[in-house]
Amino acid sequence: MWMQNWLMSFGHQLEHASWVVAMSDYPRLFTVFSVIHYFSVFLIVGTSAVVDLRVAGLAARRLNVSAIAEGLFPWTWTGLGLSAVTGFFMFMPEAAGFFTASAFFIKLGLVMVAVVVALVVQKNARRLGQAAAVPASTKLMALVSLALWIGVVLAAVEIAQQADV
Amino acid sequence: MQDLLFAFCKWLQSTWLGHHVGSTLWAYPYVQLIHFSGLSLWVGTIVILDLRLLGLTLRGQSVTELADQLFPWKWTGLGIAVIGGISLLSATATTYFHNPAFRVKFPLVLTGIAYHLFVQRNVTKWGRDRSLPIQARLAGFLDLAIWLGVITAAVNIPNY
Repeated sequence: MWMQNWLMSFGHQLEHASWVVAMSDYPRLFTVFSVIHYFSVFLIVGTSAVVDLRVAGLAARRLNVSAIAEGLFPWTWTGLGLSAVTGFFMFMPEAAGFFTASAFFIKLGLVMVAVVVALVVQKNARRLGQAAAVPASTKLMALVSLALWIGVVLAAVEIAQQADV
Repeated sequence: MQDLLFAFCKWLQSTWLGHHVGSTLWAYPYVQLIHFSGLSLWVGTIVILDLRLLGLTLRGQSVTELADQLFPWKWTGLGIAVIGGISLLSATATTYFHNPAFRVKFPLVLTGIAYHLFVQRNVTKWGRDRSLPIQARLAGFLDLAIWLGVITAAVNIPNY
């Protein structure tokens, strides 16, 4: 209970930070953050999915695994950076609201796990190179990565159901 | 035309799908999940191709081969996004019909799909040379811009 009270008062404090209050004068900013957030999430999930499906042997089999992983790597992480920054700005004005939704914490946790797994898949993919056979454990890891990103999106849409944000 | 579209919206909302998505609270986020997962695949693969056309990624791969290899997953993504999108629309079709942002989004989506078909058709021609012609770069930029426009329109729907 004290934890919840503390979270709520912390959330309200964040909402009333002077720069957050100043930002509310420019509602257009929120639209800009949302557009960048959605776009960068599609970029993360889309590029990860292509690498995952390639490693699992389900897509783009004529393209070299390590070349694909290496080429898309910077874009996946650009997407992650952009979505983290815009996500933070979307969170701040409604901080207390987000704190009332368990899906918000599940989402943050899943993002962290998904990022670690994506790093492992990237590393595996770079090592594979021209090797013809992909070990079953590496394929499984790629499919787990894909499932985690879908889990992140599910947690994200559940937030809107749980909290009035 | 307007009457026909509105009649279609009314019909969509009265179907089994419209009733279920609209009235069961738990179903809505799952339908959103379908829409967003499909979009991730569609927009993600399109962006990869556009960035390649702009020369910003995978420069060691030929554009033609990349487009060819992403082809099945790209259109699968669109298929999933459309199924999710129609289901979402079915819950509130008659309201969406009058929504100004939706009225921008819908034609923009059709334009985007048509434009991407044009890009897909020309990629083989552009990919023949080692350095891509200026039309290819412009096409990559325009393709990217249209889909950013679609997302902007979509984000604005709840504002009306």
